[in-house]
Amino acid sequence: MDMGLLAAQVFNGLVYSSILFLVSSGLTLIYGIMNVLNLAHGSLYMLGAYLGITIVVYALGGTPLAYLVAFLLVPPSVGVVGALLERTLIRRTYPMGEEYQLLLTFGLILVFDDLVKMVWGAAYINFPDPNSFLGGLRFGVYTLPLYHVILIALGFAVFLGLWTFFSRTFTGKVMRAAAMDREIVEAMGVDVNRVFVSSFFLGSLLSGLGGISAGPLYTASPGMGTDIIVYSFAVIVIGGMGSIGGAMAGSLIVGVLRSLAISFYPQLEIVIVFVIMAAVLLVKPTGLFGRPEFERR
Amino acid sequence: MGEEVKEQEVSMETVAMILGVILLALVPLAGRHMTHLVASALLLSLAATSFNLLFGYTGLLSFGHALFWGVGGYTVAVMMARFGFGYLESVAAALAMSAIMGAAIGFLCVRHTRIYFAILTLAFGQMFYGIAVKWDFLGGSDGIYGLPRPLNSLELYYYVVLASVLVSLYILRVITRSSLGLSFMAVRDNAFRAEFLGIGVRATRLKSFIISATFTGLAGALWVLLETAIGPESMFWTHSAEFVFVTLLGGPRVFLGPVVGGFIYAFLADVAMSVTEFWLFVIGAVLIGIVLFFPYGVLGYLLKRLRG
Amino acid sequence: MGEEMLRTENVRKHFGSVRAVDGVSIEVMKGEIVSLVGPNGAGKTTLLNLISGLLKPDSGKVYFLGEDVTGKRPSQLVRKGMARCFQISNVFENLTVLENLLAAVHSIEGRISPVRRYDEDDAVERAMAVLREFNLHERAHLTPKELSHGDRKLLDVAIAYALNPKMILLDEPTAAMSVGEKRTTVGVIKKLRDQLGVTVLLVEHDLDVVYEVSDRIIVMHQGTILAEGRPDEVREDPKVREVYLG
Repeated sequence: MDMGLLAAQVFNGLVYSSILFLVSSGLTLIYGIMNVLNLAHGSLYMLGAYLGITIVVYALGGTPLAYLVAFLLVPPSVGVVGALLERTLIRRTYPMGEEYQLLLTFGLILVFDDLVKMVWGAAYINFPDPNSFLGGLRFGVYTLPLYHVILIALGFAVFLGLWTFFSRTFTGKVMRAAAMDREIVEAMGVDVNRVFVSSFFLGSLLSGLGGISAGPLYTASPGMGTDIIVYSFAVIVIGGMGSIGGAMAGSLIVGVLRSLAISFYPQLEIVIVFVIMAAVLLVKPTGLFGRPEFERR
Repeated sequence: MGEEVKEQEVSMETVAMILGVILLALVPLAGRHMTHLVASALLLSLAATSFNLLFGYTGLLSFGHALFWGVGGYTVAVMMARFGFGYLESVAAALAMSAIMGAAIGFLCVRHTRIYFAILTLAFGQMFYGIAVKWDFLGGSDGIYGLPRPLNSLELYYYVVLASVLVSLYILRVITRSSLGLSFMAVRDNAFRAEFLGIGVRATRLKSFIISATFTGLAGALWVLLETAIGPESMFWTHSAEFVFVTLLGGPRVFLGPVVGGFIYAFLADVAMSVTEFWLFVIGAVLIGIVLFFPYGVLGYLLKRLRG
Repeated sequence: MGEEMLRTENVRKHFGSVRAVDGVSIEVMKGEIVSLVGPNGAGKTTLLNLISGLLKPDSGKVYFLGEDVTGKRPSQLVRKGMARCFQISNVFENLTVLENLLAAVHSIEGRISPVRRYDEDDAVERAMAVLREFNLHERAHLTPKELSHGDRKLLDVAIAYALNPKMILLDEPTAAMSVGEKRTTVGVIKKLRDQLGVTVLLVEHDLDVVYEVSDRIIVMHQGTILAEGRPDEVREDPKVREVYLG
């Protein structure tokens, strides 16, 4: 096996892991706090990429500043879209069975896919390569594209941030408590509806951040949401649904393995992820880091 | 008095059925487009009804049922294009293959219920999608195309489809009214108590899974012969979601609900496609409306109104 | 002394540090009505769960009709003649009362088949006969949601009886019932034994009901047996009074 190629693929895998983590941490956060599996979470990722295109390419002409503006504006905008979806539509499915949640959010996927085609067209759109102005980072004999390095760092930074938020801050603890026992948290005088909207805002923001980050790497296309959502499912199932650490572990496994498969066993690119996912579900349904209470229901 | 009313209802249903079948038999007179459309609607209806045996009757939501549609379809395509068999042997092989795959995958999946079952079936569906995309023997991402159409005639083949779907629906109807069907519903309502009735819960779920997979596979097999082609997207998870959608559209708690849903979906998509390229937007909006306003489906809603 | 129906031998079940059932040996004879009583947390329901196969004992044995059935699943025990009802009525909510009974009839008679109509005449006859025994036949076409609380519990018992049991385990059959409903239930318990020939093991909180129907009473406390005997013996037992009053 060619060690250079191996290293390059691990590096590429880490970049993909980072994107996967941004998206799936949002998915797992919403599931962990609200027990809602939002299929349209991938559509928010897509929306992030397309909003990014609009700012970077159409509004600001691909300058470094354009990227900065996009990274600052896009994630919160997508977060607001997610929060609005929760308030107007998804909230109304809580009294119904979970199949209705899945269906409503599947309906949202179809709507979003076509909305994107209406506004931006069906063709794939390329971002200008941010590495053209960022340049590379020398690392021994290799030169690593800086944008890729930044993305890996971003993934880990977000992981640390989320982890600190949920284990160290009062708001984070309240959000976690709301997942455990809604009534007790309400009795403490916390507005649970606000907790739910906030978690949708935060989860969607992360997905939007994933989208704007991924756009320059993989181009933007109307099918990108339905693709990423199944990989994100795989990630959170492998790591354990509702667990941020699990999302990180799952992202690393899926991202790196898929990247290695692409180079060395291209036939396995898609299959391997879902084989691992099914195996984890069968052997340890709570995933590597899942809290057992999620299996109770 | 009560008995009389019931008898009348039954005879009205029978009349509606006979009229429906006559209408279906006349479809080829309405031209090739309509013939093709109704044939697709029939096959979608069969797949959704099979899916609903597992969902509405047994209480298990599969998000990977397109896998069995694909297994049936690819078996026919491979048998005909790679090995030169005729369509009858190929469809028979597809039935067997779907049942075997249903048994193997069902055996693993029925260990879970609810959301875990849904995600596990989704994983298996994507796994086989991944195989179909990457395996040259199955034509890779292009799939297998250019198959001969049975009987060299869309109209004649339409009658093959019609007869197969009607017979299959009849068999599924017999099953749902059987003691086995009742045990499915008992497991759906209360698996815990079913165990205390001496019903083996996992074995019962597995039986439902196998029957469901087999008829979904048949629908896929017949569909390939209608389209004379199959591609991996027929196993992508969004196609599985379509079965769920169609079933909820018509109504999961009524036997013919998925059939009504299948026809509404096929015609709605056909009309929307002729009007706008953004027809999926229309479908998505309808789906959201159904969930919010008619959670029992169109047929479920109508029957509720009729019965007061 | 009659023949033995059920025997447990030193069964034990701990949940972490909680000794829910801590070495309990009981015996129930054919044709008896035996009640298990005791304060909340005494381990009565856990013992019932160990007997009916819902839980596996950590140690000890359960014998049913002389056969070692320790660790057998509920669906296997049902086929040997041990049926069970639940504290919170536990029925099939979307099926009619008749269909609830039919599910039991088809299962226990080994009639489950894809080509056999579930409403075939002799099965319906069997089910209706059971419903008549419990005075539910006029409600055969309602769903459980449409029944009164008392009738729901009766339906639960009727389902168990439709399984042709030799013995029925009843978990708090009169919980949350009105006085009138309790009278009916007392009648049903007596009828199960006197007319239908079923042995009954009963967990019950209402001591008036217990004293009225039981041949024998077993008092549990903190996972063990505190006292055992005829109703009049148990009623006078100072240990029992202490547990209940103190």
